[in-house]
Amino acid sequence: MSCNPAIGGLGKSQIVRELDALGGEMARAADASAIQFRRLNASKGPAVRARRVQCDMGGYQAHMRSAVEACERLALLQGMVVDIDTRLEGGRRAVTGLQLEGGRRLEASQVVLTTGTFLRGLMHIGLRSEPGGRVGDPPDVHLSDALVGLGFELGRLKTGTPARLASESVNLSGLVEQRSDPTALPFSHAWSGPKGVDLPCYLTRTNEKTHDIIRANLDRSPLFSGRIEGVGARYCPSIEDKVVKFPDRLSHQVILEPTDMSQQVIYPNGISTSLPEDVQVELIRSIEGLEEAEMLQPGYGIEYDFVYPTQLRCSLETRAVDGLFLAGQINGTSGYEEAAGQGLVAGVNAARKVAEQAPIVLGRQEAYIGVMIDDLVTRGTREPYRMFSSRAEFRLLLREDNAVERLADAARQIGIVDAIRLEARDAANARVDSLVQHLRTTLAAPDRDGRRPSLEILLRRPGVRLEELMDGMDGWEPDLIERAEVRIKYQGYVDRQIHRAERLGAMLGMAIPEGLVYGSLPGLSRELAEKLERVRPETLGQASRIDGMTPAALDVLSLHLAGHLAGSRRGVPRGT
Amino acid sequence: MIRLSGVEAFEVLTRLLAQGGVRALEPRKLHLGRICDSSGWTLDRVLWAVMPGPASYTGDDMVEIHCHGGVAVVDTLLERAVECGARLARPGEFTRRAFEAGKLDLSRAEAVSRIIEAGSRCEIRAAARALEGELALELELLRTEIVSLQAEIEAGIDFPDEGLEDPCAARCDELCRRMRLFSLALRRDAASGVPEVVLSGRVNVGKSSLINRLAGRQVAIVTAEAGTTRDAVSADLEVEGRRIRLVDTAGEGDACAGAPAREAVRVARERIAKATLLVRITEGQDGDSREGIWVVNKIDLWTASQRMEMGRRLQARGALLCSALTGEGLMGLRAALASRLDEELGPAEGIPVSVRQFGALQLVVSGLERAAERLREGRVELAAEDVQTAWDGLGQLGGETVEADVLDTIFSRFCIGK
Ligand SMILES: Cc1cc2nc3c(=O)[nH]c(=O)nc-3n(C[C@H](O)[C@H](O)[C@H](O)COP(=O)(O)OP(=O)(O)OC[C@H]3O[C@@H](n4cnc5c(N)ncnc54)[C@H](O)[C@@H]3O)c2cc1C
Repeated sequence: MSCNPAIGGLGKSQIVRELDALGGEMARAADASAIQFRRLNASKGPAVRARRVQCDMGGYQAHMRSAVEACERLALLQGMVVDIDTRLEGGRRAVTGLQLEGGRRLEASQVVLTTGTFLRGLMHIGLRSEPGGRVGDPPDVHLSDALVGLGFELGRLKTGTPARLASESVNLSGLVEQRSDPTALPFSHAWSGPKGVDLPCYLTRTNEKTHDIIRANLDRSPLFSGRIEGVGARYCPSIEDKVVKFPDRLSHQVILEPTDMSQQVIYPNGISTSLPEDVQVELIRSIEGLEEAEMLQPGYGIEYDFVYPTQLRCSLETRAVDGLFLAGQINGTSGYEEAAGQGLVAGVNAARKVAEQAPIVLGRQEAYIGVMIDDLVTRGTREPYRMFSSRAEFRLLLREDNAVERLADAARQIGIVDAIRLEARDAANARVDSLVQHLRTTLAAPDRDGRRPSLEILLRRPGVRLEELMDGMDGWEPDLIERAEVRIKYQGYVDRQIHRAERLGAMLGMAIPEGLVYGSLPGLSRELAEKLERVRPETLGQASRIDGMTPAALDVLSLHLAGHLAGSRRGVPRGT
Repeated sequence: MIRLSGVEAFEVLTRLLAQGGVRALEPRKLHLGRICDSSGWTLDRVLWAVMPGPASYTGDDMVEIHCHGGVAVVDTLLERAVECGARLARPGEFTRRAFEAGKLDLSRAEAVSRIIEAGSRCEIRAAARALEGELALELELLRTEIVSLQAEIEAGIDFPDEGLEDPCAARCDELCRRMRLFSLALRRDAASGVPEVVLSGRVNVGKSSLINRLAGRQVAIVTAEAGTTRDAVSADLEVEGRRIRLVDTAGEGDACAGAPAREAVRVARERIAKATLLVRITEGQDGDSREGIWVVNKIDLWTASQRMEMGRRLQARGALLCSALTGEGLMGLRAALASRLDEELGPAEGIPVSVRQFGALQLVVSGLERAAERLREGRVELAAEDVQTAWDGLGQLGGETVEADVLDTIFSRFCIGK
């Protein structure tokens, strides 16, 4: 983990739940190594609540490693990949294997590339820059050329991380303490272990002095002197960015987070920076509680190459090279959960391809993972892409609580989750169904006017909780109660979204043949035809989300697909 | 002027012009030329210009030929153009192509097509105003407001650590108020284009006379014999700048109850159901003004004392007194028609919108109303859905589906991130 070991957050937490539903490991690793559990938006509705856990970095790593090592029929090899071997066959290029540093060659018909921030990685601290993939690791200097050689278009992005501080040098007395939420839940559907330790975070703030120090040293910032060319993410700005872009704000929040069980290292969340080391020390020491802080490692900015993701199919296989899949930060995303979501899809589809099975593609109405991949391959990205709940138009359907419900079919098809767990889930889903049915058909005690509404109708009212309505709920698992409650409370809105999803699904699910020549379609502007050629959408729905798409152009496309457009427009109309 | 549009427009032009007429197709410049028939005889001397697509009105390659007026000349030239490979445009085809090429948004395209069909001066003026983008401008403002509302809701959801406040319901209320105000400035046009005012009343109460009088010409046959009007008779006229269609129906309680008469009564019922406004005509007290305008006709037959007594009473109950024979009270009737139609359809000089567009506007208003309610309950994620519905409505109103870049707005407004 390159940054602070926190898993979850809005949109991200739903991805972790989806991974768990599909058989991914992230949820269990996070639960097993958690040192703090938080519940975000607890006061808001269930569709926008989220989990976040702070992990013990070493514990997380160890869990993942043993999970990987425990996999049967999985061989682990370590080595630096320097080239991708391909061969041309019938006009199509296909992967045949990889070249490792030192001359070794690996044969493979399918390859998933997940190079993260390593492609031509360049780290910046002040005006000093040095090649590197992240602190302590060398960059990858070969694969960018290999990818360009295969015809891929690459871009450059930037991210950054704050300094790390020695705990014993920090004065926490007087700072606001932040602890686990008592209502917080673990990520994994199957997690039954203890809720782990509960280590506190502490809140502090930057002040005017901090901001003065930053302003006085902007000429030594690689960001503002133009040395960093890569595009950074707007939602993850460096402290110098925040001070320059929002001069009215006199103070910004900083959260002091432990990074592991030993609590020796503190991650000061909120002051990511690439200013020179001496400035970093000065600005950190201007903050309350950090007056005598020892910097263990300076913050830095890092630039790296990524592959424009519009060159991928929805399966995450590249269009140009058969058998070459890309996943993670190489596709322009940022974040552990985003990388994991793609990793699962690319890995599953690479394996399915070997077995000559059709790829698994998750829909936008099925999963945040589906939203993310569709966004990436359809619209591409110009800044590091992070998941937000507002990216999902079917947000009310894509909740943490119903991940196993909505991904039941996909999980069965993929086959990582074993049959016993699938059956247990089906049984739980059935219990939720029957509880909902019960609420629908049971009438409440008469009210003042002698009317007896069903429990469902009562529950729909804002603020009414299921436990208040029914006795004898003791035997029920809290998460099943929540699922039933959410279903009823959202009924009207969810029905509308399902209706919309189905309508769009029927209309927009129409497949577009792979070799369609857009230039020959009548009524399409040249600009749009070019865009369509570049993205090569697989369905009408995907086409509809391309930037600049017009309803008229969609009509043309759908008419063509339905076989209603015979050839191009003939003859010249005229009029007076 | 003759316009050509399409992939072969330039080729047709080359064939139309006399040999050597086209040296270079320099865009957007007027050239002098001669159009000849197939044997080389000059048909007309013209000015022509070419506009290559996509920078033309329709987005296709276009040619404009300015010829000498006169129907005969134009007809001959059109004939010749068809010989050279052109075909006659269907009504509104140019505008439709312009819309398809993304040159016009739907509200503009609808405005253009309405100019072509506009029947009264006032409509032309209003259509022109919509074209100028008055509608588009106001929509643009509302769009920005709604996106910013959406951004505030979404920022509160997606960045729970930033301590942002949810937007208050009052913002939504205010937007609702503005949308309603905006809708007051719109004129809904019926699908048929012209609002229908249907006259009803018992046989021989004088509906046909009234219609003739209002139209200022003989539209319906008037005889002393009861039940003369069998089919719905209609007349288009302008009332205070608004074109309307007066429809005269067969009288109720027709004495000769033959099959044709029954059919006429059925037709009348249909027209009444579809009417924008009903005018009920009686001779005496048996009426009311609940369903439309109530006219008491034939007051020329009244005595002075009847006028004093009964007239006052009826007026207090909402009746309009008039005489189709003498024209007395007709000014009042015209004014009543105008103001009732304003209420029903929006002001005559308002910005014209189709019924479809007006429906979309209702979607915006109801979406915002619900959003305000959800915000008051603290259910922000549902409010977000309702604001989205409002947004979709706005999109349909303008005819363009513009995506709200909520994230852009969030990042430019809030300092967010760790
Ligand atoms: C400085 C920094 C700050 C970050 N800040 C945040 C943050 O604030 N919030 C957030 O959510 N995310 C942050 N991230 C992003 C997050 O760490 C990544 O998005 C995520 O880890 C990407 O996962 P990945 O699997 O794609 O790549 P990585 O986790 O980067 O893994 C890439 C792996 O590929 C290996 N590799 C690369 N090239 C080769 C080669 N040629 N041969 C063999 N192996 C190779 C590397 O050794 C590495 O192990 C940050 C990353 C960095 C570097």
